[in-house]
Amino acid sequence: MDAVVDQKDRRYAALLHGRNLRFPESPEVAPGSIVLCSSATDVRHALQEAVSRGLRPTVRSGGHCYENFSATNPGGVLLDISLLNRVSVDAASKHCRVEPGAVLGDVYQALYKRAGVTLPAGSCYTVGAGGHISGGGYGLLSRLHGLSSDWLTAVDILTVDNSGTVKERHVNQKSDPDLFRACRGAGSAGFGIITSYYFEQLPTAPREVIEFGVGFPWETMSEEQFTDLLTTFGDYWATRGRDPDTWGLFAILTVGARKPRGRLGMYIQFCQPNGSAQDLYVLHEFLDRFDKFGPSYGGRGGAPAKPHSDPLIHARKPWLVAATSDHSGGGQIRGKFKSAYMKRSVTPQEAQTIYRFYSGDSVTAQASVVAFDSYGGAVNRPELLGETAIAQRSSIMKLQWQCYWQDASDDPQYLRELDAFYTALYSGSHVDADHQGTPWGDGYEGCYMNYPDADMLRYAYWPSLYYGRGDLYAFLQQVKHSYDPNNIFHHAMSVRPLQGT
Amino acid sequence: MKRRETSPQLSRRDFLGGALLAGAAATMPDLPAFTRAVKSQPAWLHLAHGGSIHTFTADAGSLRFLGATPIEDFAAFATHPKLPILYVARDCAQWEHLPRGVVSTYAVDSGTQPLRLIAQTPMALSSTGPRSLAVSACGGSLLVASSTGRAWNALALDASGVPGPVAVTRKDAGAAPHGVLFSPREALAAGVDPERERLTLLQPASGGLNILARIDAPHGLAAMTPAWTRDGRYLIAADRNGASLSTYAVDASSQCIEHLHSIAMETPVQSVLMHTADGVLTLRTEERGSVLELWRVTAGGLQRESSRAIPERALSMAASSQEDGMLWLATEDRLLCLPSLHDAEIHSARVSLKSRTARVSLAHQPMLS
Repeated sequence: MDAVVDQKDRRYAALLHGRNLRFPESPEVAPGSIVLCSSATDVRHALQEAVSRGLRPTVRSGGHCYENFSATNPGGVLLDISLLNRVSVDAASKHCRVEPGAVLGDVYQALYKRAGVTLPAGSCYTVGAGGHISGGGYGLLSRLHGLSSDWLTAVDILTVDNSGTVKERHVNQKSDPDLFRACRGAGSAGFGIITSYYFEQLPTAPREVIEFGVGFPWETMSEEQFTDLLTTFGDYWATRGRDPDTWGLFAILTVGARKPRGRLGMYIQFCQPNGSAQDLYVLHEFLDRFDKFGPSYGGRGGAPAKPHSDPLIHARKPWLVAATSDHSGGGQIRGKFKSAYMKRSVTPQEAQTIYRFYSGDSVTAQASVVAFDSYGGAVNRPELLGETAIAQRSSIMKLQWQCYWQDASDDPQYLRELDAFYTALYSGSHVDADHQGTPWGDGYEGCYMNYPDADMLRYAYWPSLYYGRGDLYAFLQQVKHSYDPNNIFHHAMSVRPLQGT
Repeated sequence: MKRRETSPQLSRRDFLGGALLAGAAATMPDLPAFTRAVKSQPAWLHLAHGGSIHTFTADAGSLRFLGATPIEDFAAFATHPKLPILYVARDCAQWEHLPRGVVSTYAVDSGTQPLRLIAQTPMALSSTGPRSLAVSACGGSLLVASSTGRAWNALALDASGVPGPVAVTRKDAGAAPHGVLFSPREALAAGVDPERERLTLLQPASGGLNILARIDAPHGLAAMTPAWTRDGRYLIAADRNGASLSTYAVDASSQCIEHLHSIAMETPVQSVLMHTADGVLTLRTEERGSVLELWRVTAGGLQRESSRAIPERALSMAASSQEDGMLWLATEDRLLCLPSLHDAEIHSARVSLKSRTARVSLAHQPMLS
């Protein structure tokens, strides 16, 4: 182990928090020590030590967990595996190995430079591969290539047997296949600690992409126009966006407070399925649909383009440059996050709820956004349902709520208001009576486990929201029973032990 | 054996039902005959049964039913040694939407609402299935054995007996913690794990819970709370299925626990309690009732000093920790009071229990001035 940092160590305060400063909620629930590990052997020893001492281990790779799964661990041990961060490519076989502490930006750099391949994972440079891949991991290339966990061929994982002994396992489709399946989407749900991800094959990285932002005149937009905008966006992914020749197109429509210079716009990345960006027909076809809303074009982050210039003239760039340019998410702030999968376009009722919330003057409206991520494409290959632990394979959009603030004293208000907004969006005749307040029904496909939201725990059926309405959750409980019989690896939203065990 | 009943005509339902109708604080008309003979020091009796805790006062003048307090998911209770506080561990599947049990803290008084909820403190995350809880003799710590959660939980108690907000936990792989009891002499507890068949010495510490020593029980362990001798030197635990009793020597200073000897029992032990200065009391069930036995504990073995047959099946027992040495037994429909094991008298009062069940717990709590 590189270091054991206890509460008296001067490094403790700096290492305690992840990105979300809400956690730990108080000094009383902070871990007793933080163990820094830079090898799988380190992790094994630290884990064995914790288990033998009866202390709860929690794990952190990149520190982006949205809920209190890592930093909140009263008296326990936080295993910080951010230094376990190597990315290697076998020169002969081109097989890739990614350690969980590697951040996505570094993963892209290493895979691209060594093999010209990439992982269809998230856009934020500083997100750690560990939690991201194990929970599914999607990003700008996922419509083209699927989820990052879809490409997994094996993992090294440490589990703890019934007697409390740590076991090293190399699991794949032949060795511990059930555990391997669980790690392909539910790997953060409480089975063990993954110390390496293996990919025998990864998609070739695009050569270049078109990347830019589009803004809309939000302040003057009427409710009808806004509804039209959202349905235009949603209709595309529900119809034309299902065609494979569009899968290189990824867009996020972000809605924030409706005010002067308020946020309503799209971020777009495009490449053709072959990884080039020569034929922009699909892109222009998509953009044409939004001409009626008075778009303004700019670079990433909304930098305005020159008037009358070709809006895309500065948007073409090498893929690696685009993939490693988003350094957002590196800071620390208080935040709350929610998610929902959508299988269809946006309804007028949904658009109305969003419009009215962001036209209001609540502090949460000023501090939050709801983003509509394009989804589907290669993600929705039905054969992956039985091979992975991702149940959502029919959605065409994924919504994410993000709310940020500074002061701890404001926590209750932001949490309450965002929850109320979300609940209102999923309440009404479009959701059946037993599931009001949640994205449940024909138009929805639940929530994303990598955007965990502890508010959903108040619904007894929360596992069905995250793991689908089929038998996946029961399967995961069996895996839990087999590989973590003591429930060593647990957090607020981990897979629950089978009843009676 | 002479047996005195307070009122053979009074039905079980009448006893508590009448009390409730007449006002919970009212003394039952037949009770003075029962209690006049009982020279007990003032105390509360808490009887957990059928989803409620029935609280009584018992003193030299009267046994009085105060009231029944509904408790959901009752698992176990324990009294504070110095304060009128009762702690109840609740085996709820989840608390505030998280899988864990909860400890409810009640202030006890002799009014019409004998138990007043003053705090609800969740156990650590995943600490489900509490089976017993114990409070240290100094009143500063509370321990909970969490069976399905495979963990021990510790809560610090403040000067008013209220638990701190955060439980610290020790996960015990492969274990199913069941019984836990503090030494009467120090902040040191013995925990029973019938799954791994071992005894554990636990000590709450600042921000943690230390395991001082462990020993594998040579004859296994029953899912039962052990008993300390009053000097804290010996620990007596029922072995697997209660078929025998084992004695362990505990040396807190050297953090050592050692098995001394075991003795087979005629029928399975149901409960074991600290009683006299150097003795423990056991309760066994036989075909026609129960047997109470007083054992003197020495380094050389357990010596049976006396025994007493009870012509009813006792489900739970409690002993006064005061000088009066009073014993209380709960049967399916009665509270029995034995001034001492040697006393020929058994005083009983019928109690109205809502449902017939073998799950009855009894606690005795002195009213300390």
